Parts: sequence; structure tokens; C-alpha cells
Amino acid sequence: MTDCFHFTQSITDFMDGKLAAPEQKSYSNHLDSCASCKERLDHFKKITAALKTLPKIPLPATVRSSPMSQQPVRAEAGGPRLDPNAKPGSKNWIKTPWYIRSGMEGIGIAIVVLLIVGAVPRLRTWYETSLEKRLESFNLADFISSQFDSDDSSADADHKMSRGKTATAAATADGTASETQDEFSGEEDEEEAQPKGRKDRPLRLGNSEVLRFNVSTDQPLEFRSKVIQILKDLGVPGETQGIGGVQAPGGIQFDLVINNSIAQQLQKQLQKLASTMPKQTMSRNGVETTTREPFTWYKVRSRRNIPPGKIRVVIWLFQY
Amino acid sequence: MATAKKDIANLTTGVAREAAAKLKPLTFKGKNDFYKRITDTYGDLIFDLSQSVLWSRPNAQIAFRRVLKTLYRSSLLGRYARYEKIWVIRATVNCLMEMAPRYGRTLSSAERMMLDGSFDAEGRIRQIDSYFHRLNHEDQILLILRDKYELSFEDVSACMNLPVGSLKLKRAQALKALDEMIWDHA
Repeated sequence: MTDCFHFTQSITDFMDGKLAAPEQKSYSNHLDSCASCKERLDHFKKITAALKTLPKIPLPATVRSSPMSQQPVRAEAGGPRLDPNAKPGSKNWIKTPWYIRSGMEGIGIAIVVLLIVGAVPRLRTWYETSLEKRLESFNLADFISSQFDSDDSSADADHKMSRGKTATAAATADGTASETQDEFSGEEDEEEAQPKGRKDRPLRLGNSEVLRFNVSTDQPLEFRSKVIQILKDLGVPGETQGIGGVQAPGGIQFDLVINNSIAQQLQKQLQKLASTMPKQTMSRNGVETTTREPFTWYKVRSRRNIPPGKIRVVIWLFQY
Repeated sequence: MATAKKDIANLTTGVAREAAAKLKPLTFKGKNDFYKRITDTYGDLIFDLSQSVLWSRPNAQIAFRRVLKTLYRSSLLGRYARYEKIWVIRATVNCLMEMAPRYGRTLSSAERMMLDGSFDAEGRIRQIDSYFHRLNHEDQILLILRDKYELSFEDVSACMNLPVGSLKLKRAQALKALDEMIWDHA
């Protein structure tokens, strides 16, 4: 008598028809009476039929023509890519023997390390050199002037006056005057001290520069009206902002923007005006020295944007 | 030595001559000629077998090259002439058994969930290749050889180096596993 257990053990042989005739008949009788075994047999037959109908994939023509070619065929189904030569360009490198590849890679790494080690001191030297150049080009006068410019309101006039020393004097004392400073330093006696050739040299003005005139006087209010008159004579419109000057502790300050063309004439006029003032001298140990120059001027860079063709002029009349 | 003399003596008979003709070593002129001959004769079989298990044409191509190299090395021994097809399939099976654990098709969790949840039984039987790849690689090769290529159990046994009884049992277990995957969860 066949039961389900025995049938399950021999189901594939039954399906293939490999059993002896009596067994085959016995199992057939069992199938007539057992629905589950019949169903399982049906399932197995469906599965084997489906497996038989799986498509057979032919060898690609490229592989058939050159079986050992490493050119990969087009990938269709999923699965990880195994071919190491799939990346174009690396084919020859992959083919290279390992000892040559390892040697080349080692040499390459060593070269990179050496370059880095050699470049670090050079970079450091370059950085230090640039730092030194910046220090050498540092101009104390510019620095002080820029400090003045940064807080250029009338409220800071007292602060400016408190410094007491002209930027030209400070620059000369440091011995670090730039070309610009050389041009203007000591020009309070331009007509006497300057060589004849330099006297007529035109004033060179760049963009975004501030022209600062310091006039030392004992009567700033009187000089104020004179300065206003000079400006008007030079064609500065009366409505120009700052043309009237601002009274501040220690003196009067004019801060205005004028045309470049009249800057040189303004310089000459102010210099002429200041020349009427006596030099302030002091006797020390029997030696008479000039303690305060009546007129100094210099130019510095402005941090504000100035329209082209214009220049910012700051005239400082301070009372000694 | 005595056995060899007996073999030579048997060559006098007609049957023995026929067997001797089959026993001749493979004749080919160089490596390329060998590759061409094997490719022309068994190329489709090797490639389809590899593609069915690895589920990737580039990987199947690599398996194909490996099989050719293996065959070329073993062909120099000259002892596979009699069962050339079995020899070729056996080399392919060995290669696939090495490659399949690493490069065979592995269904993702999403694919498994989709397979288990979407189709009815008829739909699943149409997706049998996906369920087929959830079997272990040895069972996959067995089913392909036995049911797709309809090799006898004796030939499959020679190819897979397993006894016939074990193969029958494994095939029954594999079919049962597919049955459960396709019908029990439908």
C-alpha cells in the first residue's frame, strides 16, 4: 500500500517514468485517492515545464569571434561587475606585471612625498619674505593719516589736534617717508628750499587720495575767512559741502571735495598765506630751533569713494 | 603494463577500434585552434549555463574564458576525448561553483518582498527565474542540467561529481522548495 510519504520519496522518479511498472501503477492509484499528492505532482510538472522553457542565451557574436577577448559584452541583467578591464584606459596598466606596477607606484609616492617635503621650507621662506616686504613698505605717516580719515568727523577734531605733530614731521622722524612723502615734506619753504626745477613740478594726484593741508596760526578765525575767499576765488561753488569749515577744539577744519585742477593752485595760495605767519622758535641751551612749521601738507589714500576728477581736501587751521 | 597489452590486443576487434577512435586525444593546432573548436561546439552551452547561474553577461563571459583556459590545460592530458561534453560541462560547473558564491545573483530584500507579495501562482511561475535564483547554486546547476538541458542523472552525476541517489534527492528537495515558494505563499 502506497502512502504519501513513499510517494514523496519517489515523486521525481514517478514524474520521469523511471519506476518499475508495478510501482508506477501503485503510485497512480495513490494519486487517484490523494488530492494533495496529485496537486504536488502537478506543481512539480509545471515547474519542470517552466524550467524547460527558459530561454537559452546564445554566445555573443563578439565572444564567438574572439573567445579570449577581454572586451566585455554589454551588461543586461543585474549582478556585480567582475571585469576589471571594464574601465577604459586601465587595460594596459592592469596587464603590466605586478612588480613593475608596484615599483612605479612606490616611486610615484616617494616623489610626491619628496616634493611636499622640499616645498614646505620654500613656501615658508616665500611667506617670510613677503611679510618682510610688507613691513618695509609700512608707512607710519600713512597709517596715522588713515587713522585720521577713519574718524574724520568734526567731533574727532580734538583727537586730531591732540596728536600735535604733523604727519610729515612724524614720517621724517621715522626716516620711512615714501616717494609721496619725499615730494611734500619740507615744502613749507618751497620757494626757498626747493630747487628751481622742482618748483614748477605739477602736483601729481591719484584717485581716491586726500590732500591734507595743516596751517598753524594764532588767529584761526581770521584765516578762516581768508581760506573761504581763496576757495571762492579758485571757483569752488559756494554751496559746496564743507566750504565754510567747522570749528573744533583747537582749530578749524575744512573738509571738502574739489576739482583736481585747482588743487595745485590751492596749495600755492595756502602756502603763500601761511608764509605771512612767523616761524615759531624755541631757544634751548642757547640754540634756537624751529618748533612748529606754519604750513605742512601731504596726501594719503582715502577710504571713501571719491568721484573721478575730484579730490578730497582737508585744511586744518590749528591754533598754537 | 599487462593491462596496456590487453588493451592493444582488444583493438583488433571492430568495437574496440571504434572505442580507440574515441580515445584519441583531442587534435588541435595550437591554443587558438583549440579555443575556436570548443567555442564552436560548446560555446552556447557554456555561456548559457554561466549566464543562468551568474545572471550577468560580463560575468558569464569571464566564466567562459576561465572554462576555456581550464579545458585547454586539461586537454593536454588527453584523457577526456571519450566524454568530451561531460568534460566541458564539468569544467563549467566547477568554475561556476567557484564564482557563484561571490558573483552569483543575490536578490535584494525589496525584490524578495515584491516576489512574495505581488503575483498569484500563475504570475509567479512566469517569474520562475527569480525564484530559481533563491535556491543554492548547486541546486540551480542541477535543475538546469537535468530539466533545462535534459541530461540523464548519470551524466549530471559525472558533471557534478555527486552520486545519482544524492542528485535525485537534491532535485526533489529543490522542486519542493520552489513549490513552496510559488504556491504556498500565493
